Amino acid sequence: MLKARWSKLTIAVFLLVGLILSGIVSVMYLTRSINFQKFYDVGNLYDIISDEYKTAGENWQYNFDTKLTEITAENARHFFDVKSRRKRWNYLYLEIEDLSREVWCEIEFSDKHGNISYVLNHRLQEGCNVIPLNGEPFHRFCFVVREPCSFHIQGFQLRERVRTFGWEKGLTVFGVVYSAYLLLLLIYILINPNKSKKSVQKGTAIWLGKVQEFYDCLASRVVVRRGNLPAGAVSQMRRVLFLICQMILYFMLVFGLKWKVLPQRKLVFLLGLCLLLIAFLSAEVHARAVNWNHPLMYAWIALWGMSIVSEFVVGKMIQFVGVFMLVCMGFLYMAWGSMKKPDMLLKDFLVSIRWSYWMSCLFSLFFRPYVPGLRYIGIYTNPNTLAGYLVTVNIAFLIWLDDNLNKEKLKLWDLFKNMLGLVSLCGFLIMTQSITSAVVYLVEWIIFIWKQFPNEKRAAYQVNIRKVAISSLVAVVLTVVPGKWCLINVPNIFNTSVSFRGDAYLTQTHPLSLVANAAEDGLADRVMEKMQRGDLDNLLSSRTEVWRTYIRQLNLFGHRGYLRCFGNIKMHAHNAFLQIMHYYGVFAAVPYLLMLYYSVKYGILAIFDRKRSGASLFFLMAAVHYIVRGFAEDMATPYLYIGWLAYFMAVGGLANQPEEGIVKR
Amino acid sequence: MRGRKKLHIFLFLLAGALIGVMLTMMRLGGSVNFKGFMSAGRVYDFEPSVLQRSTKGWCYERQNGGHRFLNDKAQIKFRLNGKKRVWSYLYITVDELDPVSVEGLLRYYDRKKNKVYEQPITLTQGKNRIPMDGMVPVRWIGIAILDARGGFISVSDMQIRTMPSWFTVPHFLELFAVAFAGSLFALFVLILLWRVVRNRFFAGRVAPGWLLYALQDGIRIFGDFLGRKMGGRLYPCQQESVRKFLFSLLFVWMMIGNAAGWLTDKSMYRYHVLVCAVILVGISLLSWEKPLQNQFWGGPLMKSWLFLWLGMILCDFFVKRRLESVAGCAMLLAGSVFVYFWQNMTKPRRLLCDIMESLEITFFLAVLYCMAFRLKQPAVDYNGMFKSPEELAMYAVLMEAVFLTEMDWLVCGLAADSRGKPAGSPKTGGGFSGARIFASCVKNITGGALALFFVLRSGHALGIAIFALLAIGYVPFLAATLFRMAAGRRGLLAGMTAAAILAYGCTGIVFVSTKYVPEILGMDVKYKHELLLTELEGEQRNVYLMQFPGSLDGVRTKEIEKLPVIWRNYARRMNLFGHGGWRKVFRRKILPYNSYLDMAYHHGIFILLPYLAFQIAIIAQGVKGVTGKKGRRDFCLLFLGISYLCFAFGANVEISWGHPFWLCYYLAAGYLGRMETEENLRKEGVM
Repeated sequence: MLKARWSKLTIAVFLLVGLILSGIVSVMYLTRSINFQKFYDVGNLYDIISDEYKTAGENWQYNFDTKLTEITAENARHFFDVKSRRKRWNYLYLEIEDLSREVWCEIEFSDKHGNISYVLNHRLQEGCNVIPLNGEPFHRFCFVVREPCSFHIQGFQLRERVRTFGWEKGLTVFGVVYSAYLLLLLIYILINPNKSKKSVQKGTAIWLGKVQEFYDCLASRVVVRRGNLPAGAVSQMRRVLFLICQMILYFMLVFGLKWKVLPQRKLVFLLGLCLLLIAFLSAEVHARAVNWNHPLMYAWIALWGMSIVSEFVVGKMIQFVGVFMLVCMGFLYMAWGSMKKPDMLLKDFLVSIRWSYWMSCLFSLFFRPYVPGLRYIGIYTNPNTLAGYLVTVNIAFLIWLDDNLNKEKLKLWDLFKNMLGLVSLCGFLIMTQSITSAVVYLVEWIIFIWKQFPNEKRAAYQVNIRKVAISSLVAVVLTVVPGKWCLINVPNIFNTSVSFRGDAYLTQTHPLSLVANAAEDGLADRVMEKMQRGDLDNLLSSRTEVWRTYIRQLNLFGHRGYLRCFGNIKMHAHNAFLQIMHYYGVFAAVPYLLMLYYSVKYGILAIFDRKRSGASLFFLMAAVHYIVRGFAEDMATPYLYIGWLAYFMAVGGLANQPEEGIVKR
Repeated sequence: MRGRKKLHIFLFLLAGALIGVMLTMMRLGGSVNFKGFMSAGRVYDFEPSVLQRSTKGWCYERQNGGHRFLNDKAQIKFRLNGKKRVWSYLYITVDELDPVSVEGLLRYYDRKKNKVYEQPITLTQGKNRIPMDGMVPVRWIGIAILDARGGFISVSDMQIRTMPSWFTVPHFLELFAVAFAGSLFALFVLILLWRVVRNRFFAGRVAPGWLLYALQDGIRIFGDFLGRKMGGRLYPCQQESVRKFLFSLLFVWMMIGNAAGWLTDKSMYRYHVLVCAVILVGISLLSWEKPLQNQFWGGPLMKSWLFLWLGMILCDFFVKRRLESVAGCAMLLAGSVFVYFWQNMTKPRRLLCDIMESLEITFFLAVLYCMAFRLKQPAVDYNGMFKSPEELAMYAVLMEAVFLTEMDWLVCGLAADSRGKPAGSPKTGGGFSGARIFASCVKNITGGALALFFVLRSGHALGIAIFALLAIGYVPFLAATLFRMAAGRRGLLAGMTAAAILAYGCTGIVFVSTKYVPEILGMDVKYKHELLLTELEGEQRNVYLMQFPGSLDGVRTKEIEKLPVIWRNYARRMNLFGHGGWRKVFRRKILPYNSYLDMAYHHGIFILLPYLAFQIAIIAQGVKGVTGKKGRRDFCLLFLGISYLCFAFGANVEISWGHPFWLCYYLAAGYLGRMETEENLRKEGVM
């Protein structure tokens, strides 16, 4: 079994490395440039995003049903601003499909004062229209179509250099290179059938053993100093410390401290200190054997090792992630693993999340009013971030429910508190109108309900379900009627409304930076609107453009911080996987993917592990939450999100795997 | 235990003094400001050479050390710190004035020297404070003395600033005395309180050394694992050879990095340090002999070692620097690994010998390099393989310490042999043949002579003084040893004389080579941003330039008389967590020429606690190494400690990972720390 698992892991690693390596080689071959700072070295590019030419111009309209741009009369005009810092371009690429007839068009290039610098004439044809420019700088250009016609714009791009290859050629080269790689790999495996497997297994196990030994030594020195503290006091201290951790993450995000080097360092130091203190409080030396000899921990250590190397080579805006993870988080994992009752620590963490939620509710109620017509941002500055926080808190409430639904004597007050939390949280989530988080929310509920199937026929469960229904009803009434009224009016009555510098509706300068305005009929309306357009760009709120920008900049050792997208706006990749590759270089994708995969796998197994007494749902939920949200939001930037902390806590909980395999219920 | 007590008393007093200085400075600055105790505002000190300039109205008389007014409206202009700014106060310290008081005008000029404003002033003997118009931006100022033709003025100091200065030495001392007493009392109370709290609540649980031992645990676990695979597979003689090679490589790499300017290059520095750290860790792992054991790191030396580097790293959380604290991290990690491995060696002196031999190898290589590539320019102090004369002087002093120690070991070995004791050479433990004595004498005396040659060529007064101090300090020991020799003294003296003659010849060759060979071969290498210094100043320099025009382009006059001003500028900016970069004095960035000020300026005033403790601990252990019962006579480390301490007062000795002198000094903690461990074991009755 072990042997088979190892060979699969090795093969997976080799295949992933091969994919990345082949991608690099192919791109380098196609661009005829060996550039490790930027693999896709084709000069500067500026994409005019689809939303821009979908807006109406003079005699220029976009038909959302036929997906065609319709020129309704002669001399139709449409202006395009060049939002990029670069103003000097050499080529304009216009890919046209379904052109009703070939027509002449003019392109007027103007300077920043709107004076026309020069004009180009071009006959619009089906397919890719390459229009050479004269190299003069321009700030905007006007596309004038002389005769009525209709067409679909597939791509609209300003380039520094000529495009030398397309998708077909790219895929062909990639296929050839990857095949060659696989062939070489096969030859290598045939020549050395056992070598790689053995060396990887042995080497990593020994190193992990050494790391563990060091943590163990440290823990044993600490435990002697700590003495025996009462379990209740330890638990309370842990909760407070976790709460401080969450507040640090919150301050870092909301007050923009992530970009200020010194405050960031201090807060990270404080965060690390809190985690170390939790570890010191929790460590129980030699109470339990800790086994880190499994792929999840290999991937975890490899990822942060790579991040240290990347940070050494390329200075980062957000610093010391690798060191923080290996020193503070790693020690916490070790201490956690050594506990006789590791679930206690997890429960304290979840309690602290619930505390933080109640505090945030109070803060929102008094200081952050809900303004109808705007997506709610609550304690954060961005509705999506708030939604991310809410779905993290949702895990904590669901786990409480999961742990208590089978109890015969369920305290009604506790149940009501929990249900109020769940219901109010749902209300807030609807007000944020965040689609990604709504999906995560649904997934979390699906996992929760799936976990409840075996309990359905138990009597206590049936009784408790009824109690849940009643308390939910009361909570809904409380939330919808007085709750919402208070949220809208209390800050105005007491005149205590506060706004932060980065509040989304204050900073919405670019139409694509964030949609702060709410859809009229709520979240469902927003989803329906996006679905009806049937356009991927629209569905993902132009995230595809951001992804493209990030993919084009991938390199070997990563970058310093966020990239400028849509011309000039610095923003995260809106995808955790891309973000990690962007931060730490393309090869960080391998351990990252493995870490995600094994966290889900072990998370599922943990549900069936009878050694775990409670909160077993947490691991899977946190992992799924991280992955699903990470698909379209930023989850990879460290020290910012409570969901990020929750995921790495889940990894910590899964770090100690029984050597003999999972003991199933 | 006594050593630890002494350390604690010393630290107690030093902490009191530092807190006292901090409070006094804050009092003088008039506010509680931890980012700059003095709250001094903007200050510009005029360069001493500028104050000795002659103009049409002010004629400088060198013999009298002042200016003579030549007309009734004698004017002199001064350029300020280069930017158009407003200033509030002008301070002029007049040492001599004839007549007793003079009237004049203070004129304000813009960039093109157009007068924008003027105000009447009166100058008297002593410190003159002239309030300026704080609304008028100014780039140049002029002082015009009216109706004082034939009068004389000697200005020793001039300063312009935005905030008033309340600093005078007596006032400072008065305040300091009170603050010092107060802070000592407060510290005493705090310590008492801490003891009560510790005994009440944390009895037996608080052991301050646990962090040190945790660090050792980490090194031990990984060190045993890797060391077994590296050092464990080599024979001792192989270990020695590889060590010597790696040490030589390390020293050469550091010198290359220094010469290439990597120490100030943000992008290169971390790679440079990484290579150094990797080599150092490599040497450590190759020195693995047996399973590692935790050492006694509770003594003054190792405690100050740890707190020094930790303190430096900690400061980076509060201060943004151009060059990150890679140096501190590398020393804390790689340096601690090395020190720990060295302390674990069965015969730690072997590693000391290897370091010394590597230094010798690199020294002779460096001499060859200088002969071929580094020209000695006339009237300009020689930089040798480095970028400044002071660095060459430090290197020469280091090599002097090495060669003197080698010589001492030879003499001592012979003396022991002559008395029938099996001492032999500390390196091999074997006996001495005539040829070996002669070879050893030739190497050490020639090396010493070359070191002397370099230090003299550098023209660095402090370096020469330290060189002389070490040599004189060693003479009594040598004399005593020679006196104790029962036999073989004549042979040794003959060998030494022959070697001295040979050394004289060698030095002559080097002297001639550095003067002509690089030029003849066309291979003279010049470094970027090299510091070229000359002793010629004022008229001497002008006369020289008339003879050799353009020969002193880019050559600066020595800054000895500027030192107090530079130190003052750095001291004025002292704060809690330090600053990044260097201060601009006289319109350019200048190093502090004092390592205490350097450390306090960059890492905050309290870094001086471990820094000074480390210096004292090194010297104290060094003295024990020479005078101890075991009769080790390891002069090298004592000399290193003394010379470092001396250089610290007047040179930029903190050249992190850029000078063998710096590295050897800090790594000495390995050998001396082992002595500390042995002492501790003896006290505990284990040994």
